Amino acid sequence: MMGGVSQPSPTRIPRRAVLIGVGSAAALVTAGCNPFSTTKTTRTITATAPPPVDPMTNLIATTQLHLLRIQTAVARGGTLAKTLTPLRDDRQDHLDALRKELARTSPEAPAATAAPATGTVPLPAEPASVLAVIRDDAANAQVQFTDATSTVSRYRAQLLASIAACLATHRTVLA
Amino acid sequence: MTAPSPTPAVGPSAGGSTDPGASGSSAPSAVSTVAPTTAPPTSLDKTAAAAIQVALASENSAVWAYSLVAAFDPDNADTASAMRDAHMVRRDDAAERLTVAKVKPNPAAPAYKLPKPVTDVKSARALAMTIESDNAAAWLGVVGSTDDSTLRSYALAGLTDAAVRLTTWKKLAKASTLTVPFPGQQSSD
Repeated sequence: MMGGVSQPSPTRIPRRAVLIGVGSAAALVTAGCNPFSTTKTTRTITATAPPPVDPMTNLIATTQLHLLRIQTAVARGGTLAKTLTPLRDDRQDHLDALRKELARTSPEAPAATAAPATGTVPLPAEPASVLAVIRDDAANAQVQFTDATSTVSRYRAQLLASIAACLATHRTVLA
Repeated sequence: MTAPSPTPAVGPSAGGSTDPGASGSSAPSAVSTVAPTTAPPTSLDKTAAAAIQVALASENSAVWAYSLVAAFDPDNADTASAMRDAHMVRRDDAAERLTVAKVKPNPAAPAYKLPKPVTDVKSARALAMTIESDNAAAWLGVVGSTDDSTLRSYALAGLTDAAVRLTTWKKLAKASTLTVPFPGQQSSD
């Protein structure tokens, strides 16, 4: 009988441990984490978006400028005044309505409470050229009001759409 | 203008389209209608669908009434005919928008009750102004019925067309005031 000392069996890694290790490494890689990486980690911080800009202020400014031009032209008298007086009244109504609407939602806004603009603005000498300037004003304002209609509340959309339609009629009158 | 009972009352009408982005040198057309450039939405909420039904009824009444206008204002029969055609285009498009959204468009009435009898040129033009004023109101209602920017733009085109046609009739009638500050918000002319 051979006596002998039994040799210790080599250390064996349990299959379960191997599987756990491989699985963990795969999970880290999948998650975008490389435990052996030496690069610095980038952290993304999402900043809060600034509040949307209220289009009313710009629309009021545009209307005010155009109204000043029409008022200056009306002050010259003649047939030009006869044509432009009803349009001036419309634009004044627009300005009043826009300020009222802005004051309703943003009473602290300067444009809502600003004093009416006064003074004159330069205009060409020729009546035909004056009409062209005012016609262009109406076209540009129509674009502004049309664009603004798509992003505002339903109530405001109706106000701005109605003004845009009125500006289209001004272009018809001035054509 | 209203349709005989039980047809629902009709108010608004519309027509020529405008291009707000156009140069200021050209005035909006009184009759041409801008075709929609985008496919109508496949769904509409109840408020928007109801508003489009009102606009559709307005278009139907306008199509019907312009035949009368043309008959009593023969000097401007071509203008009336062109405006009628524009209303037909917008009527068909409004109906299509409803259909695509699986809403059944209300049919046109066989006839409509006039606010005042049409007996001459003056009353014919007055009817045309009423048509367009009511049409503007209907499309303004659509503008305020939705948050969808595409539908708003479409409705604004209808509103603008109606407003421009109203001004065109006022010019033909040599009215003292050719414009209104808030088209669609006034009751009539």
